[in-house]
Amino acid sequence: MTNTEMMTKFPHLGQASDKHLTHEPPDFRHEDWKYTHFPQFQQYKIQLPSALSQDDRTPLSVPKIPLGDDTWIVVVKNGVIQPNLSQLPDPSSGISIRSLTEADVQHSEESGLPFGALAMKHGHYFSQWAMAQHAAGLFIDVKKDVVAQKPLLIQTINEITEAKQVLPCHHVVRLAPHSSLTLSEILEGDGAGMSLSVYEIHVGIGANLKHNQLQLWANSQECIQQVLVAQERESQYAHFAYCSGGKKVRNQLTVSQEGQMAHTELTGLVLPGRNEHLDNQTLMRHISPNCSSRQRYRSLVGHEGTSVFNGKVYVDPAAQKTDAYQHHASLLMHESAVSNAKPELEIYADDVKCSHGATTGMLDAGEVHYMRSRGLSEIQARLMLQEAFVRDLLESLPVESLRSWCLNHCVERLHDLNRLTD
Amino acid sequence: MLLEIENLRASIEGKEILKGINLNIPSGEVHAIMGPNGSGKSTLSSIIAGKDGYDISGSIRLDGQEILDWEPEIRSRAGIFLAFQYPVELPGVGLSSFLRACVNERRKYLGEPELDASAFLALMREKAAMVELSQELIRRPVNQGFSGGEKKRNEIFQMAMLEPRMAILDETDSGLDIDALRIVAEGVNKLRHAQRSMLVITHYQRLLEYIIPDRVHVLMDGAIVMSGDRTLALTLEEKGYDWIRAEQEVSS
Repeated sequence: MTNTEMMTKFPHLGQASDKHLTHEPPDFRHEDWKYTHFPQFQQYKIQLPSALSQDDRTPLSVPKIPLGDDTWIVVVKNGVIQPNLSQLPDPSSGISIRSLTEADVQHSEESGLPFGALAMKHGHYFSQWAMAQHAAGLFIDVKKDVVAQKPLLIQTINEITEAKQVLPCHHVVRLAPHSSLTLSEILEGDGAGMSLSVYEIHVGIGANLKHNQLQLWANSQECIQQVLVAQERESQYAHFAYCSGGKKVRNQLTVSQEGQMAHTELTGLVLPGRNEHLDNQTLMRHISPNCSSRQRYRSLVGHEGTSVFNGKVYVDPAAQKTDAYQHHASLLMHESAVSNAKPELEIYADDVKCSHGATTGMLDAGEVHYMRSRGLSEIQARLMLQEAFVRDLLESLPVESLRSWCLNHCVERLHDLNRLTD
Repeated sequence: MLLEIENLRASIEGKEILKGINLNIPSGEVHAIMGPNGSGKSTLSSIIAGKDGYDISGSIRLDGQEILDWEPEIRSRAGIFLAFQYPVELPGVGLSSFLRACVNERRKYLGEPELDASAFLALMREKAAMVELSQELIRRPVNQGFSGGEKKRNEIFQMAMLEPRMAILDETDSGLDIDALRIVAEGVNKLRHAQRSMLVITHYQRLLEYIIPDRVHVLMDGAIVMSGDRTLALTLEEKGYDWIRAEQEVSS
């Protein structure tokens, strides 16, 4: 579908989309898309969620994670909730989870529900494109003062059979004032297409959301994701991103601190292997005074793998007393591994503390030799150093069972990457 | 003979550093090597432990087996231990998990069963107490944030854990204050054993007041030019190395 066709079909999208959709998808000339772009995107076909899942008979392969009964689980296949595989929270819990419909977005202004506004305001080309497709997804709503008694896990399985086919999704999460939730996601899939997801997350006054995403894409799959967050005063938002692989993955986080005393914690780890390209992109918008943010990202890049980190910190003239920290470290496992890191600080307030750092390097030969001289083989030594590189980031995962599962997954992945490197 | 070094020559980038070393260390003995800066002491210890990057000829045998073509980890598992002059920091690698892997590799090599977590912990407590290494340091990553003295003590601690056949201490006394020197030396003395030999490399006679050597060798310009008992160390301290240079000129 061309842009003109799209605009004709979805006229309600308004000015914001006008602005973006009359343009081509951003290419390498656009600074934010310098290292990661999708030149053939306009030839991609849309796979609408409902179309596939209605008469779907193939059994679901749900990853076995020992989470036990103390977790709410929502299984989402191709954008549609699978109630028979899910353990949804009781309505009395104060947490509601339902499918987001086209009508929600179209009538969000009348209903007063926060659908579409963030994506229209801060969404990039692909997010707005997904909105224009009426992408469906989840609406997670946590009532005022509710402290979730269990962590919530969303298992997303995207089966997109053909390359150049795209499955757009749109999820909305709203935490009412002084509520709290731990939301974990495991995202994986079969096939060769692209998952395109937009998240709009509203964290109310004094609310606390811990958001963990584990992306386990196959190396044939592509992903574009934008997580848009609006934080009210005194709220906390922590995002943990683990991405073990994927053909081309672009994850963007856009966080706006709209009230004072908000805190944001962003953590991410990517492990790209051969012909994989994993990109973490952050935009930390400090637009209110007395807020803080902390970003820690690491890349462990295998033979012929590529990682990208672009971390932007914007401090508005109004955001005095901002305390922002950003660090990215990359460990290259081979001469053919590539890491592109670009910290960008835009500071317009004069009484702030902003620090950032970026390192890229290979394992230190002296360290490996020291370990070998104590009896470890070269591969044992390398694995131990690589594991140490990722381990303290994984400590940021707040759910114990998920943390140990993720560490094991990571160690297995490291074994694979080392095998390919040798 | 526990360690036999025969006509060992080593060069790096065309520069010859070791020019035919001959050295035999019987089981249970402690030998010291002294020598001026740049004489090749550290190169000798690195080569015994298996550092690559040198062109090497000659022979090094451990219990009669040639080890020159062995990887460093095989030498370590077979019982060679080098206490580094500059111990390396391993960011994020916990000391106890690191050592547990090392100890179990050595045990596997010797055909002994691996230690389980509790047996390992007990062993670690015992050996740490021996070199007065605090439990707090054991929980840290290897050498990260350790003071110079703590790093050296940690080397002796690792030596105690690995129970080597042949321990080489490369200038373990450098950078140590008097108290740290005493603690390290006491640790080393506790590890003296009829089945274990040691090669102590040092600039100063002082360490040899604490660790009494059976033999002292003088390494100059890549060769051992003189050997004797512990009194040789005292003579060296008194007269310096020029005295040996003078003697050599006379004899040649």
